[in-house]
Amino acid sequence: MTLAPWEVELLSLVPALLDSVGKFDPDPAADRLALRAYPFDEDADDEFRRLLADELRHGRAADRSAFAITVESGVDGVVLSTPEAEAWLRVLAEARLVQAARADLPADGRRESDQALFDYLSWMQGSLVEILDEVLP
Amino acid sequence: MVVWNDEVNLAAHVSFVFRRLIGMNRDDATSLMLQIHRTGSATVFSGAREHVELLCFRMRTYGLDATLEVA
Repeated sequence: MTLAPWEVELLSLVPALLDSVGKFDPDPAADRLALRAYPFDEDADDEFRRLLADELRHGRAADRSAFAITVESGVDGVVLSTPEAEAWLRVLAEARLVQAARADLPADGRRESDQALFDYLSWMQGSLVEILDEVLP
Repeated sequence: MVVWNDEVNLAAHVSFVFRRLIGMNRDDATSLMLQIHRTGSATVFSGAREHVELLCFRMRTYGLDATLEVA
């Protein structure tokens, strides 16, 4: 995959976007990305989070790091391994969810650029899914 | 494990995640995704607690709204 400079520019916005989740209150994106499993059982849900919160944090950090590194190499052409492509998928999925969750917040004139990013991420994710789908048995 | 419809995730992405994490074939994964889209949710997997908890976790890392219910 070779990325045009404008694509690298857009994709480079993603790590900061994801880092910003939960940094201000209220953030509808924080709720959407929160770790949960048992909506009607608080104790079971607390236990679930206790067991898996670290793994989620480490997994996200690894995914976002792999993403950022490969995006940077994108202009020269980069080959994504399947695990790297799947990391991209998780990162892109989260970025779209964050953007969508925050869509109703005051945009301070950023609406067009937010939309451009969202549309591009949608296209990129769709392309990646198509490729990854071929690899599955 | 229940997966809930959301209006943001790409249909192809949801189907892919079912294929990737549960090993479904393309047709079954697509049908399941459509069922969720049409009816609001579907039970996609049942099993031992630890297994479904891990699966639920992995689904959520792909952005799917997966939750667990005791049968």
